[in-house]
Amino acid sequence: MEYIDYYKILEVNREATAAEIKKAYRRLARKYHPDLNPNDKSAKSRFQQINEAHEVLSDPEKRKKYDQYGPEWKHAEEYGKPGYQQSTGRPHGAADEGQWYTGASGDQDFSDFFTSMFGSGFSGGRGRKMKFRGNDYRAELHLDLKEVYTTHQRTLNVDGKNIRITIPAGVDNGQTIKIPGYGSPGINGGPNGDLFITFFVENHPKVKREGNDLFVTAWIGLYTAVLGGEAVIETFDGHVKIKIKPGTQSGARIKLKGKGFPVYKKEQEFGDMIVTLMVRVPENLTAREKELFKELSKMQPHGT
Amino acid sequence: MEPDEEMYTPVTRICEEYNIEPDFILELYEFGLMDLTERDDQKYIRHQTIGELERMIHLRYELDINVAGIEAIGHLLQRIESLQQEVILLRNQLQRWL
Repeated sequence: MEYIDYYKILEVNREATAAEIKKAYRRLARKYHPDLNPNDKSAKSRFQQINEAHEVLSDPEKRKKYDQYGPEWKHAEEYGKPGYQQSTGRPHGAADEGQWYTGASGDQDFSDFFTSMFGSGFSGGRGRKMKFRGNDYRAELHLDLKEVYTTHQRTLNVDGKNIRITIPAGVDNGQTIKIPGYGSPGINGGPNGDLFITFFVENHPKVKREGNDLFVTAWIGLYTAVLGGEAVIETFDGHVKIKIKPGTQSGARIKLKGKGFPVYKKEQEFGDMIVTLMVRVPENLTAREKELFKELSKMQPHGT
Repeated sequence: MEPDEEMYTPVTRICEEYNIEPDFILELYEFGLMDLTERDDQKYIRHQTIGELERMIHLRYELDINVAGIEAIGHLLQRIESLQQEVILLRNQLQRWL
C-alpha cells in the first residue's frame, strides 16, 4: 500500500488554507465530476481521489493526523488503529460504482491508504443526505454474435440476487438497456435505482455485422466459377444453397434478402446477408491438367 | 384522487430527504428541467425523474452551478450522449473491415 499525496491530488501546497483547499476541490470537482463526464471511467477514478483528498484535507483533525505521519503513516497504527472496518456491501459481479460520489452518503469507496489511516467512516461534513433513491447498478454482458441472433433469457447475479432478463434478438454492440427498479433498494420509502446493462457483442470469425446486414465470404472452385453451379452458405439458422452463374468473377457479391440479422425488437424482420464470392484457383496441377490449361490458354491468349 | 404513492413523492418530502430548498425544485420546474404534478395544492415528483433530479442536486449543491448552468450542461450532456452513440455506431461499422 503506497502513500497518497493528497496535496498533490488537489494541486495545492502543504501550507494551503482551508479556503484554498475548498477552492481547489471545487475547481477539480467541476472538471472531473462523474455527472459531467458520463461513461468516463478515468474521470470517475480521478474524482474519487479528489473527493478522498478533500475528505482528509478539509477536516482539521484528519489533516493534522495526515500531516503528522506523512509518508511514515504506517507508524500511525502504533498509536491507534482505525475505529472500525465497514463492509462496503458491494454488489457481486454487476456492481455499479454507482453514486459513490454522492457527497455525504457514506457509501463512498476509499483507498486502502485512507481506510488504514482513518477507518472507513465518512465525516458527513457536507450534511446532505443522498440516500433516498437507491443507487443505479451498471453491468456489462459479453455475448457472441450467434447468441444475440435469437431472443433468449439470461440470469444475472446483481447484488447477490438472481435476475432473469430477456435479451431481445438483434441487440447491438455497445447498446445499453435500462431495467427500471433493479438497482439498489431505495431508503426511507424512496424508489429503487435502475439496472443498466451494456452489451458487448464479440466478433464472429467468419461473419461480420453492419447494422442488420451480415457479410460473409464464400470460396468457390474455379470450375464452378467458370461453368456455374451451386454453393452452400452457412447461416445462423442453417444452410442456404445459392446458384452460381457461369463466368462468376472473384469478388462478386450476392445479396440474400432476409438472411441477415434480426431487427431489434421487430419480430420477423431481418436484414440481408451479403455473400462475397472468392474463386479458389487450383494448385498442384497434374501434368495432364497443366496440358489442358495450356490448351485453353492458346484458345484465349489474352486470358479473358 | 391522490397520485399513486408508489409512483410519486411530494416535493416537500423530497426536500426533506435531500435537505434542499423547495425553491430549487420550483426553479427547475420553471426552466422546464423538471416535471411536477399538482393535486390538492400539493406538488409531486414522479419516481422515474428522481435520478435526474439527484444529478441536478449534485451540480447545484456540490459544484455551485446555478439552474441556467444546469440547463446548459443538460444540453451538452445530451449532445455528448448522441455523439457517443454515433461513435459506437461507426466503430461497429468499422468492425466489418477489421
